[in-house]
Amino acid sequence: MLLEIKNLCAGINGKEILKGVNLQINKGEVHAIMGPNGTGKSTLASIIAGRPGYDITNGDILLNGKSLLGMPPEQRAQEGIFLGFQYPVEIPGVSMSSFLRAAINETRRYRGQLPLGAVAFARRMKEKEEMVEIKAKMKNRSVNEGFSGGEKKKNEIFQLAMLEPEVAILDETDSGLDIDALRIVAGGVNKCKTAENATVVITHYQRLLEYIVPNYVHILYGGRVVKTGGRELSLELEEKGYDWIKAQVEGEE
Amino acid sequence: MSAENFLASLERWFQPGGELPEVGELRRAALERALALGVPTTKMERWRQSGVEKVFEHNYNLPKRDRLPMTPGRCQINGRATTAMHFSAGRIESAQPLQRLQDGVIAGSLRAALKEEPELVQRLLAERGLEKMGFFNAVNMAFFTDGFFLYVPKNVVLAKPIQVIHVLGEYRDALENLRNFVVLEEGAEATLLFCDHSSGREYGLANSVNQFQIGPNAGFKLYRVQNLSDEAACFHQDFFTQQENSRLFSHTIGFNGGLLRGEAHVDLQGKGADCEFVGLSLASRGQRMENFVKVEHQVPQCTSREVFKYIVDDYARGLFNGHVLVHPDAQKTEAYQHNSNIVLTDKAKMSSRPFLEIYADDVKCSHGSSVGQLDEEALFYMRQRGISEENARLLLLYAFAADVINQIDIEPLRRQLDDMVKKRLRGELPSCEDCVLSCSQPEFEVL
Ligand SMILES: Nc1ncnc2c1ncn2[C@@H]1O[C@H](COP(=O)(O)OP(=O)(O)OP(=O)(O)O)[C@@H](O)[C@H]1O
Ligand SMILES: [Mg+2]
Repeated sequence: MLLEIKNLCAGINGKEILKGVNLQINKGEVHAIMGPNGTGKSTLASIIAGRPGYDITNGDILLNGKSLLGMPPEQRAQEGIFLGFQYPVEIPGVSMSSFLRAAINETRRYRGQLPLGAVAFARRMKEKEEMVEIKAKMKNRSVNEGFSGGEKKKNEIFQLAMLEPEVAILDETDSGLDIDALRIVAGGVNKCKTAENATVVITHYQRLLEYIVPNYVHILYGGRVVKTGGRELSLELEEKGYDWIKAQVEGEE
Repeated sequence: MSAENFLASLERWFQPGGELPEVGELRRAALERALALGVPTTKMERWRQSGVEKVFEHNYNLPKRDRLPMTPGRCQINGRATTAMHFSAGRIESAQPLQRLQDGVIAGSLRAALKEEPELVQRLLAERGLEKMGFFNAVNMAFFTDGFFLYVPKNVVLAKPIQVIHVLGEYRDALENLRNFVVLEEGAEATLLFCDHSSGREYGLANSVNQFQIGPNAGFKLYRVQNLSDEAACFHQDFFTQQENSRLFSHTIGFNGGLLRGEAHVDLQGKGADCEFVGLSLASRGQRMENFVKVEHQVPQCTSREVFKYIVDDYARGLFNGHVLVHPDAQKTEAYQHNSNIVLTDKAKMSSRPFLEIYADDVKCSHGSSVGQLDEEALFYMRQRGISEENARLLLLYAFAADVINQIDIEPLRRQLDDMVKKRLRGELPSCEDCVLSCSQPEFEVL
């Protein structure tokens, strides 16, 4: 198993948000996580990535059998976790290329590889631009600075392509995209897919899942995965909304 | 040592007809002025929140005449990009202390200039009346041993920047007073680079007073690099007078030093004069870095801009004190004053006091200051991509500093300072490899 989340319970500022999340993700799979606003999807993604500030009260997160919980965020990234941010951050004064080069070379050092030189790095940039069809016109600009919402999301996918993680968690990468951009972003994600990695997409819309076809759809509600199904589950949600899920959960309780 | 002892040693040191008897009268008057003023305290507006009081904890020694000046190694920027002049133990070190360069340009030792061009230099020395002189200025006048002198005649453009390297002495509790003069006649242009260093780890105070006269349509660029030991204190008082349509660009990087204080007093006397100040101070450990800038808009249509940035780490302290004074006649003044700061720890402290005082009504003036920490969101974003916390912080700090570095238009200097800033931010003191003090081979990559 590539990523395993076991009975994860967590909160912030004394507020309990995740109440026993279980997920199992294998290589080569695409998982979608859906759920009403405020149910903890971004929280789950942040905790996997190691954002400071959360209290983990129970459970574990294992990547290739190794617990991530004691690791700082950079080590988790170097181990293979990538988070596509719901709101990518602007970093004035730090150029895209120095940012990515630092990211790649620190990861390589962690893995005992030699750093990429300037030429190899430039070649990689070009190759990935072509692959995901996202022009890094942003190369010499500061990271995300002055980018439109859509440009920021595309930039996340370009970084995904550059970094080649084992698990990509994409938090609402489709929000704020126009129809063409959505196709480009989804196409980019698909091209990054291999038999060795896995993708987790967090989304509110079935439309993204027409492009990025999931093997599993999970519904997160009240801090728990309350339902798991195949692709058809997202269609059902699109049609019926969340009320029936809520009713079901409350019925069980 | 105390303030009283300091004043007493001024009296003890003073030798009528001693060094440079040519200006003996002026020196005596300056000494009296200093004694009458007494030492400054932080109760005075100009010195509020300053670290000046520490200076009076020491028993000073003036540089001895027989002391052999130390010879620093070759500086890497000099030779390629600059003509260098070295000062140590309060004196120029040069077989030819005063040089006649191209087209009537005179450059070198003030001492020598006083002998060779007595009229010009005596006039300059006396020009700023004693009655306005502050304490350290008066002390400097009474005891200066030498200084850098530059005269650029009308419409002459200095071919190569001149680098003035001052190394504070190796002896304990040194007090070195240098007095530097720069005169640019109408239409003249010059670039100077002042490098301040200290040679040992002993405490010492460099007390420099610099007068810059910038004639009509003249253009002057002044770069200053301060890289002294944590024990050393370095005061600079710059007095600029600017005539019609003259331009001034002053760029200072405070890398290291126990107490670095830069004062700039600018008199915009001619219509259309323009001045710009850019500063970067990198203070850590117990260091104190201070900038005091006073710009007086006396006449219409002058412009002034100030951007000072500080990174204050550990338990260091930064101080920015900016005062723009717009006189009633100075209509159409444009003045901009900004101070932005990153304070990295709870114990580090930044005091920012930008201040506009305006008596004209048709002006465009703005000022602002900000004090903040590193952006936590940006840090997490970078770490999520695999960049260690330490390097993420470095990248953010470097980004903050970079736009100051990028305003240096002497390319070898820009490259060198860029490298030094990176090293400084990494916590390595940028000390030089083939020079006892200097500033290391440019190397690349922040990481
Ligand atoms: N720093 C915080 N302090 C307190 N509560 C928080 C904090 N961050 C998030 N929450 C709360 O945790 C809950 C889950 O938030 P989260 O952002 O994970 O939801 P989400 O499922 O991603 O929602 P959306 O679909 O709107 O993006 C919400 O009720 C939110 O208000
Ligand atoms: Mg969310």
